Amino acid sequence: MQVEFQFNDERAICDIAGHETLLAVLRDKLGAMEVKYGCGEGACGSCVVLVDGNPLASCITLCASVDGSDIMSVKAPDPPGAWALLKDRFAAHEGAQCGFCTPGLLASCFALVQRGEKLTRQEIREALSGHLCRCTGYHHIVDAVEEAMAIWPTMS
Amino acid sequence: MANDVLTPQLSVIGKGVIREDVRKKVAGEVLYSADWVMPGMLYGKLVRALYSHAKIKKLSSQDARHVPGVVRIIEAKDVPVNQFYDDPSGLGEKVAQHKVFQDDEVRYAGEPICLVIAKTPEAAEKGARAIEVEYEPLPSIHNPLDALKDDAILVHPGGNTVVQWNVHKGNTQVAIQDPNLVHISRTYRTQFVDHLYLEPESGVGWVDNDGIVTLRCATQVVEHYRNIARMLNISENRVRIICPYVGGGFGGKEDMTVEPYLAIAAWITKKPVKMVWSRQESLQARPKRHPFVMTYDLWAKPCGDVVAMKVDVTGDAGAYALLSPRVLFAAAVVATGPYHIDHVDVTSRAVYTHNVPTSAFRGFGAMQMAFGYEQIMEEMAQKLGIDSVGFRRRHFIKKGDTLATGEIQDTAVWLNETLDKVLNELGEAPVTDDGSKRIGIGIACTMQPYGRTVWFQDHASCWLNLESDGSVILRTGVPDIGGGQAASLCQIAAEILHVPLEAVRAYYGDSALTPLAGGTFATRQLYMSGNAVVKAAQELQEKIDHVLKTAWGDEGWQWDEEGMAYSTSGLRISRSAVYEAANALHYPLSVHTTFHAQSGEGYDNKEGRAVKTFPDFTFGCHGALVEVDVQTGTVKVLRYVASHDVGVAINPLSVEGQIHGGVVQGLGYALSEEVLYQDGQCVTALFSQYMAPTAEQMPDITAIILESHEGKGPFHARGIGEPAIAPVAPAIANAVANALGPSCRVRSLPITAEKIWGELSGLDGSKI
Amino acid sequence: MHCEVFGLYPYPFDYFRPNTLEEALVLAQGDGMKFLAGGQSLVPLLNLHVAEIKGVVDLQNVASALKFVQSQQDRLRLGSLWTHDELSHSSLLGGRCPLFSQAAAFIGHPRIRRRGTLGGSIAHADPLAEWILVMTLLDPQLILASAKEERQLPFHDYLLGPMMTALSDDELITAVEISLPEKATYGFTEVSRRPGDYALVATALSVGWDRDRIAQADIAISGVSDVPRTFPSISRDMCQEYPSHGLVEHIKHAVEAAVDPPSDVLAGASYRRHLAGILVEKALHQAFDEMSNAGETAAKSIGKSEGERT
Ligand SMILES: Cc1cc2nc3c(=O)[nH]c(=O)nc-3n(C[C@H](O)[C@H](O)[C@H](O)COP(=O)(O)OP(=O)(O)OC[C@H]3O[C@@H](n4cnc5c(N)ncnc54)[C@H](O)[C@@H]3O)c2cc1C
Ligand code: FES
Ligand code: FES
Repeated sequence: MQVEFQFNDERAICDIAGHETLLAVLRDKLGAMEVKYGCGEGACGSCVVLVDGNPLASCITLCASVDGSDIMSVKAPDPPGAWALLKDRFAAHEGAQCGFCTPGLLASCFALVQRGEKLTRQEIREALSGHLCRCTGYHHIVDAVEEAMAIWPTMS
Repeated sequence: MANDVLTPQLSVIGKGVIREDVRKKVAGEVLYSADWVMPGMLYGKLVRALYSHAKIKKLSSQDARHVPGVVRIIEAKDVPVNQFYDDPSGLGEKVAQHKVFQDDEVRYAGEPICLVIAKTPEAAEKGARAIEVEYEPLPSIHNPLDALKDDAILVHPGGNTVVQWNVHKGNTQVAIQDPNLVHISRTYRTQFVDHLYLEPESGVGWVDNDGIVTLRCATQVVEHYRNIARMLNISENRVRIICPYVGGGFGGKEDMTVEPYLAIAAWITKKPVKMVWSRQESLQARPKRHPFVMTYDLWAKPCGDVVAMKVDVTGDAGAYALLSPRVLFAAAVVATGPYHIDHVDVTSRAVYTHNVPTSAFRGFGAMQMAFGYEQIMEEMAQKLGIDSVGFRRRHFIKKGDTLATGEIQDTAVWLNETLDKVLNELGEAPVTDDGSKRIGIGIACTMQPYGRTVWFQDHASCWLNLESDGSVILRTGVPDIGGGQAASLCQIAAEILHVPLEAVRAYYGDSALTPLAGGTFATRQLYMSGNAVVKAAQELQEKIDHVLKTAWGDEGWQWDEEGMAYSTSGLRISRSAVYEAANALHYPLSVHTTFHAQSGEGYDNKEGRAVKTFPDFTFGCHGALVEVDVQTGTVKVLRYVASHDVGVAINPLSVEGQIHGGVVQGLGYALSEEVLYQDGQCVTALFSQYMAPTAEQMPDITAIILESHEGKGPFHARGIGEPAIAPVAPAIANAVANALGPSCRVRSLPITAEKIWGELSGLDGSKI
Repeated sequence: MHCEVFGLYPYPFDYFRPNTLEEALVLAQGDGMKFLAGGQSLVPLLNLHVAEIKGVVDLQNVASALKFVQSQQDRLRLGSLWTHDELSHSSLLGGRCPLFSQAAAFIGHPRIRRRGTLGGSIAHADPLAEWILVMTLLDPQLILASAKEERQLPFHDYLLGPMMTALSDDELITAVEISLPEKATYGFTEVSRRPGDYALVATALSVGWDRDRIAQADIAISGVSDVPRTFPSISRDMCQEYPSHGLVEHIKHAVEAAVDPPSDVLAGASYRRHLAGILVEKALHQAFDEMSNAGETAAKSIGKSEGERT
């Protein structure tokens, strides 16, 4: 079957089979290697992308079901600048070490920051509880997100 | 000596510089091992054993061959040398043999039996499912203490003891005769845990244009190309391992994972082959951290002087030795902790069972011991009715002291300093008016080696060039597993060569093109490769100075921030001009050099003595404030403070990151993580069943970095990768015990709510 | 014997996305078809090759038809495609049965809650799932539809065992219909190994009031038997009583005595029994406190028909 969706502001038309997950299609058909496989259970958050603005685990989302959606990864064009802000703060605080969890994590952070959430550190922690990071101990990640939230939207 | 360098005014070292690799990673621009794609690539899937102990009667691959897309089934008979030999202790005991594919006697559930190669991952999986193995199940043994008994089932013909290490100091037998001594004996237990790096084991293998077997895979050790050559029975110069940025290692990618399978598959099919282990496969069958059973006996005078300590450690090696001998050696060396004790007897052994093999994991045996020594010290203080902090201080080893092994501690020991910081920052335990909650405070002081044991003659090489545009290329075979290994080396080179950080580019992790640096494990990389880079950079700088003087005269050259040389007479020379001049002089500005670690003789296991074991140790203290819900037993970590003397912090931000990461991994170890087995079968093979900490229940962490300027690494740095995890479990155990009150203490990990409740209700948590 | 192979991706199957409920039901009649709601349980199973199917019928285009709240005097009908997240906002039910929002907060993490559905959880029937516990407590009528018929099945006849239900392959849960006492408050408590995980033991209870006296009560607990269970005779002990410390103690001990939990690798029987007691105690306090605090407001909203919401 054919599906059509926007991926990082480009139209993607893919021939897929019904069983293919969004993760598989993004990686294997569209070469979006920034979307990571970490568990296949929806539990680790490495594969998270934004589907119509909502963070979703692409490993447990069938590609056929996102037909017509607007999908974004960390490599999306960034006119409002929220990605750039987050990336910059993550780099400045070393919110990534091995970096494997990072693209998925950033997708969830983007959704929070862009809708103008101003959360406490504990609220940030809860909002990110669907993402496992084994390297950073989360502290620097929370630093980065907290700061990005404080700066946004004054920056845009 | 390389580490005598101490530039008075450091410009790059000690700055929290932004790592270039982090910039690439946050942009999603890094291609990890599983992200590599090649034309005509095939996919591999392993078939793993179902039983923890069984004879393989028959393997039928008929059905699998007919699965559409399946290209080839690779079995034991297809491997030129189906056996790995290793010398894990480094003392010539060839114990660690294991097969690439098991074809006879399966020794743990999950042991690889054969490999299905297919055109798609799905077909490979289908093919693997269609493989039929006929087993004759055999009785198995899963408790290492049972495995030590005389009539125990043998996992390997030579007996179930993999190795036994002894450390003797003084004369315990005589010392403990004094009837006035206070004696306590306690047993502490730790569990199986998984590294759970976010990047599963993965890679692509191919045979390149020149017939070189090439593997691009997630590994901590590019030197495994040698093992691959032996397996394929080809020359070592025909195998190449490329290691891109690794998505976390923590020791779990120190032993080979996908390497032999990619190699044999590419070798046989002559096609590129990709393999990514599923998370569940990894949880089920990959080596874990050793569970330890540690029995501590401690004798002290009523006044609070420790007289003697006996430690007996049994580590579950699982079915194959892998790195168990070394892990248990590290355990033996630090068994007494950072304490000066006159009479010591330590026995530590690794024991075969039919469990999944255990091997390297951040902290490497030394960290499990901290759960023992930091509790026995606390318990003794309690028994003596004295302050446990003072009790510790009284026995802290000092610089110049003789350790239990007989070696001299020859660098600074900042235990008091880190302890002071932690106590100061933690403050007093607050009181709670919620009757269902109790607050507790606990600390732990630990030592953790960095660098390999001295008889490995460890060395690391690097190659440093000045380029014609004045930029610098650093080549080193270091695998970068996320700790900023390559980035720190660039910082060091930039510092010594007086160039901006951006001017240095590191090429890393390629066994064919970058000088071998040894693996990224044992917290050795900064120490080893850092010193190698110091040495190379100094030599290169000398050459640059020589060219300057030869071409432009001895003008008292200095360097400005842009990396230009300027003279007292007002000359300004760029590095590209220096390059040109060097060329004209036929004087290449290129240095290839090797740093050799302090080396020494093997260990005298009979006497239990050594002149030197590890090059050095990193010391530190952690403190925790916890709240225990006495109704449910659940623990909340309210505050956590961690302090280490890191000698010099090359990049304080990265050091802090290592401490945060170590603490949270340690908190998981302390409170929730456990790979659970029932009769040798993993029952926590799902990611969602393995209780690694998420951000939600973790506290902010206060990391206090101290700098004694006395490490053995570059600029006198000490390693911090592993040391950060060791104190966590005992600090939490002590805090929980403090909350629970006298006579309640959970002595096994993880310290679950159930065990705490068991203590509170007077039941033995382990037998509920 | 074949080996266990944990996969990365599912085995092939077909995908259908009907635009009407009727179409969906017809499609579901095919062999090996499965409904796809939030996919948060189904797709992991397919990835791991625990389940193998012929096709999925994606419900997303009919979701709006299955997202409704019909509120009547003593009954509440809830469409099956509400997500956990939507149900976690108490306003959805117009303040009626706050148990839903209490329970929803315990499910997984934000991403799962935004996607997973009530119907999916009921169909999946994980014995430790929050909705299965809530359903055990409320024992609603499940409204089941297939191309052939629509039927109602009380939840207690529906749940046959862990992950086993009386649902036929082609049947869709379209709604749950709950009968609510006129004036009731609720408690929901749980202990899990890590926040957001399936519970070790969880308790849901409802207390119906006759002024400040207990008219009726129900207690359900998961994690102490293969599927969640209720405690009719203990609940009966509460009727006609006034909330008191003594009553809570009595119920707590009665529950502890009544449960016979299993011991497994995750927790032993004694601890599970202990948790059952503690959690009942806490849940009772929640329900009693709610009565004394917001009891009046809750009572007022009852009887106010909310009509249909989407
Ligand atoms: C990491 C993780 C953690 C989780 N933690 C929890 C937790 O703590 N507690 C908890 O309760 N759940 C948890 N879940 C499961 C989650 O709540 C699921 O959303 C839920 O179990 C299934 O709902 P779904 O809509 O996603 O159903 P799907 O996955 O789409 O479907 C599940 C099954 O139900 C069938 N089905 C779906 N809808 C209907 C219907 N209307 N009628 C008939 N059959 C239908 C499907 O065919 C399938 O067999 C977790 C899931 C994940 C991935
Ligand atoms: S890979 Fe999708 S959540 Fe882990
Ligand atoms: S940075 Fe390695 S897992 Fe998060």
